[in-house]
Amino acid sequence: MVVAACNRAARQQGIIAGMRVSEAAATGDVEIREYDPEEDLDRLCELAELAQQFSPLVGLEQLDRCLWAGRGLHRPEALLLDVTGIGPLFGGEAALVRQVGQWLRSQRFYGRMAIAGTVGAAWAVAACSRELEPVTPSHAHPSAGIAAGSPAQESPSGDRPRAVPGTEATGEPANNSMVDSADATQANIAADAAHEHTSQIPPSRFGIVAAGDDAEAVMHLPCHALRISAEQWTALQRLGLHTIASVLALPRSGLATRFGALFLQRLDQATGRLEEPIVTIGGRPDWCLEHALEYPTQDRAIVEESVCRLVEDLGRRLDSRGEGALRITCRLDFAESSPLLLQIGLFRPTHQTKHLQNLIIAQLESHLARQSARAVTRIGLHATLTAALRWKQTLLFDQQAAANRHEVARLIDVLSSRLGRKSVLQARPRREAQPESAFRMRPLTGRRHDGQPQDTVKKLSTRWAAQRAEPSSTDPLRRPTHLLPSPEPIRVAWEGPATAAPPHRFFHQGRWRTVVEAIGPERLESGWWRGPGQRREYYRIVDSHGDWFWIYRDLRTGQWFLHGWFD
Amino acid sequence: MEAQRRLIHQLAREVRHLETAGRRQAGRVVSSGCPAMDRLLASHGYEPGSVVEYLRSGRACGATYFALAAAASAQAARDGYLVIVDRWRRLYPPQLLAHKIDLQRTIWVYPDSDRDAVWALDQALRTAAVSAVVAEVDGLDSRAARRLQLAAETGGGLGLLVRPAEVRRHPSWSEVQWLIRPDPTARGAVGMHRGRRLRAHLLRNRGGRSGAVATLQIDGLSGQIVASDQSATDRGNGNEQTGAVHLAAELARPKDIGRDAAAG
Repeated sequence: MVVAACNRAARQQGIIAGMRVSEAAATGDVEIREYDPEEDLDRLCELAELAQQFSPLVGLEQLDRCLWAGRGLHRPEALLLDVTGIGPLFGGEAALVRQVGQWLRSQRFYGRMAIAGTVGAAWAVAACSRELEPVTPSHAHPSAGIAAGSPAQESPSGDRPRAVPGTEATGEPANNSMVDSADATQANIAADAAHEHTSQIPPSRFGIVAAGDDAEAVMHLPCHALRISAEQWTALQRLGLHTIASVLALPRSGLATRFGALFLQRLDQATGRLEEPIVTIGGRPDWCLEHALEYPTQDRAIVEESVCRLVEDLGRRLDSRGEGALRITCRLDFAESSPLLLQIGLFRPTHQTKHLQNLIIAQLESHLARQSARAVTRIGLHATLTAALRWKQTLLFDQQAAANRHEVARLIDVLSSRLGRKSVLQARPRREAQPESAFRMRPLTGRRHDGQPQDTVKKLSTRWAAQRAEPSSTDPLRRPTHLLPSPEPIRVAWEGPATAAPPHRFFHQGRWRTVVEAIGPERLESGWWRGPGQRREYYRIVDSHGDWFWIYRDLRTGQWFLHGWFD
Repeated sequence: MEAQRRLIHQLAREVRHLETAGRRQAGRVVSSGCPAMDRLLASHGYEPGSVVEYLRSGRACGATYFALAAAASAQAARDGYLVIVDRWRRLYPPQLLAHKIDLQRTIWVYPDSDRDAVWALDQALRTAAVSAVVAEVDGLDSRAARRLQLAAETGGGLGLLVRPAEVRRHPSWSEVQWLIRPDPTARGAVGMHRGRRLRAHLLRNRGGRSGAVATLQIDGLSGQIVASDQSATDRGNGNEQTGAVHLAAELARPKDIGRDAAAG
């Protein structure tokens, strides 16, 4: 178990990504939270959607295999923006990148950005250059984007920083003479981002590579700026090749023989010899619809009518391909403020126009009701995740089960649409001693369900579920019905001197409660590999009113906590 | 005298039919999860499309346990889904496994406001595929309560609401209302490891007689809710068997500390 990401404070203590969690825990008082890759990617995709205010072509970096960038990259961490010809609209490339930096800050992200002629060069500069310039507030233009929801609120890690995405943005070199060159028309912006409180977030940094200087800009950078595999990077180190310049000094034929064709491809992409397309997150263009209004309007009826028409169009397209939408994004661009992004998640793929319209309009109404009237200029609708519609022949007497599935899917969609995807969940038990980690909640919508598991897997998972069950059905009163999200410190008292035994009285909800009976201790300890160990002694206690509580003594500090109750 | 009693019984039945005529389906009644409680109810269980309230005398008196037992019974009887509307995000999911509730067919809803909670309850109750909805609801005005009752009649599932005892004086649209309290005579009579003794006071029983009190026990081994006397008999046999077979499990089980023993 290794560290996926860490904040600045942790880095100052010597913790780095890739380090074993047990080693990181040994460095001092650190808080360790579980990394959720799915949520991470969701947030990056959401950023990519919002970044379309700067460029119509936004994508994520592609990771064909685990790459080495000073650490293993398992998931996309960079946003790629094609800003060819866009700089002048923002007052120049420098102004553009500063606006992007301010926008990232408003989203509580720290970004490392670069504009260059190729994706590879921009990535290398953003990730590895030590000469990036900070986006200072005095430089900054008014913030270009305010998002719906902040990452710190949505993240399970709360406001604790979490390393996420690096990004890259590419832009067209300012020199017009380069526009005709196919190789030079691409560039990227990269931003390495981390969640923090806005006031604590350092200003993003950026670098701009002059037109035609891509090869020169990456020369002095370390070899891992080439986005190569860990094995290739180790081999280069063994040969004493530490910078890209030292690699370029060698004959190409030798490099191809020793490191393979992919290595040369990466080298060419970084130096601008080879074009690298940006794969947009939009996926198939068929699922992206847009409607530009003839004039900006605040009339809600017109906006809703336009959305309904786009949904009808999308429904027809999905129907013709035999597919259904699992996630839909609706973007409203306003005349004078940042866009509004609505995310719709569905439990099962669907192309039913009426159902989709109801979900989107309900969410649109609740958003517009909370905000002051703004003039809408453009409406975009985008099915970001689709899946084939599954038609399964039902048994003659199984029609009720099929109807149930259909009704429940509708209920989940409606609840998720109004309350949010993260408020309609499914619980899964986990084999963890620590009570708060003994289950995991997962959103029910916006996920692709890949059919039933194989029989063997199903059997095994059932057996596992039975083993994991805590409390088991043979010991039903062992765990509480209610668990506090974070244990509540309580004042306790004994009739004599304080002992390790459960207290005679404890203070809860404004009054002292007398303990008349107790069962315990049940010692629960978290695994050492999960970081600073939790060592607790739990007691089930009954007070004089007959109420049952679950309290524990922290063996490290000796303090008592209320963790739940048996209602 | 006998003729008069028969007449009253017949009239009560007719009134019950009139009151429940709006229900979409008159299916099988669902057990409350405890035969002793079922016997006190007019239909020997909960009618489909009913709203049942469990009023709790204290924060941890056992009312949620009763609601979950009824939910498990409803999920098994109708082969449907269970919806948990948890306003405070405190209900502990692994506890549902003790009731043998299928977590794959359980939907957790975390609303951010009371208004959203009532709306989610209404939506879930209207869905025919939902067997039961469990929710902790503190404030519920008369209109909202009526709305939930109509929603339950439409969907045919059970609405199981856990509410504070203070609302017992408020008007209610529920079919059945229980007040759950710890049994004051239980102290010292039943060790914690053997179970938990409670009293269920039937405050409201549409179409039937209310006011009955059942002394019940949650069995420490099986988790079943049984009448207190029956529990003592059943568990007496069970203990002998358990002691003989599951010696290792008993060693792993936390020991029972009496208050006095612990102090010493």
